[in-house]
Amino acid sequence: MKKWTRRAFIGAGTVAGGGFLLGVAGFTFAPGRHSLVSADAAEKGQLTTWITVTPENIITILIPHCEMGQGAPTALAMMAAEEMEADWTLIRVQEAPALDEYANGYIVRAVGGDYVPAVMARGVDYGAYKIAEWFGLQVTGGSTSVRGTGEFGMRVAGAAAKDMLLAAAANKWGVPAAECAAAKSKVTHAASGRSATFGELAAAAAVLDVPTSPALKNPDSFTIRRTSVPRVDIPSKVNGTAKYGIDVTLPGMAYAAIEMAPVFGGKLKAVDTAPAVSMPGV
Amino acid sequence: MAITITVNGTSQTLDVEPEMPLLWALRETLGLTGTKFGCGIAACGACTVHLDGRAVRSCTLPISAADGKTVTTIEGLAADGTLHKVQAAWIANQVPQCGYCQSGMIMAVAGFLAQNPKPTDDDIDAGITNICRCGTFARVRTAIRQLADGEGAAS
Repeated sequence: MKKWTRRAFIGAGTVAGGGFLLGVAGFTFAPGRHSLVSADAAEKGQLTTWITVTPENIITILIPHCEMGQGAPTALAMMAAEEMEADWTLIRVQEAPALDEYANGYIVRAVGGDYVPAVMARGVDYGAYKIAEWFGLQVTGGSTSVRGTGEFGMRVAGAAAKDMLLAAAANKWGVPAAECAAAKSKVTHAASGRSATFGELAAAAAVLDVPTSPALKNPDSFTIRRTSVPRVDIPSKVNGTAKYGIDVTLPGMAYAAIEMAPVFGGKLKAVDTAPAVSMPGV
Repeated sequence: MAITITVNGTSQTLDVEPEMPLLWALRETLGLTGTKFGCGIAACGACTVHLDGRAVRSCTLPISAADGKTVTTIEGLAADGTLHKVQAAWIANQVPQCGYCQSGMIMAVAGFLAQNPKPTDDDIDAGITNICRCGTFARVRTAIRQLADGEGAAS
């Protein structure tokens, strides 16, 4: 076991097509103001990927939670887009795949409540993370999506992405990053009047070091959060394209039905499968 | 048994048991999964489709009863890429939550308004009996009232 740190682990890489991937691991395991991840997170493949920017300036945000009518994908995308200074109309949202890499453990920690004494917090954090890791939990529930993944995952991922895009612009123009500003999916350098879209900067930004603790916005300056935007999931729910569990078909998929014992404590004596087997399609 | 139905404008000949519920034929045989299975006893309305223009609950309707008829599902409600006015009103009012019942709800409302373009609240109560476990009924009613008043988003 390598040393555990409270420093967030963030990684970035390029993807085919010149896109820009920004991954943040560990934030969803964080119970409070810190993040808790394994120091060997990258070796173990725990790096998770949330934000992609295409050359066409479209930002795709992966959401590691289910949409169940609570609107979490919309809320989480807003939290990332806010910190990133993105143009909300250019944001796209995708469900993260059901893979261990996208496991989230905040719900485990949330079970302990917010009442853990400070001296015990680190141990509880560690325990919560280990439980999530062991079980490969990818959980949606307990009101944890926004206060866990949103606060410690999406906000930081968005802020880190913005800082990288600012740095890429500064490098390109030979100016200090502090003189560049991001807004509406564009970086501008006011003094020289230059500007570039996030999409134009994404490939260069993706090869930069990722800031581990980017500054988050003051809520007073929020422009996307604190507004009411149409939910991203609703169009697919009015035209029949939204996929539910019952809509999934896999090759060779079999169907099962349960025949309950008609009396409490009943024991199975015998099964005659012939009538079932004779049915069409069996 | 060969059954011929026109589904969303396309004629389909199906070799299925005559007692197969229409819902099964749509979802399993034709792969149109936008229409949902809810209760299976025509009580909740999640499976609502249009049969010759009228809203029916497809989970208990035998496919033989649809032979030679025209079926429209949620996938076929929009015409030429333009949302049906009920669909547009559903987006404008942000009606769906989990959305599972909403294919049936939208088909029920579309059929209902076709029969009764200016419903009263009592008409709505009597005509729209679909069940939504998220409890979107207030927004459903608001959207229907807007459509009845001609205020529906007409995108």
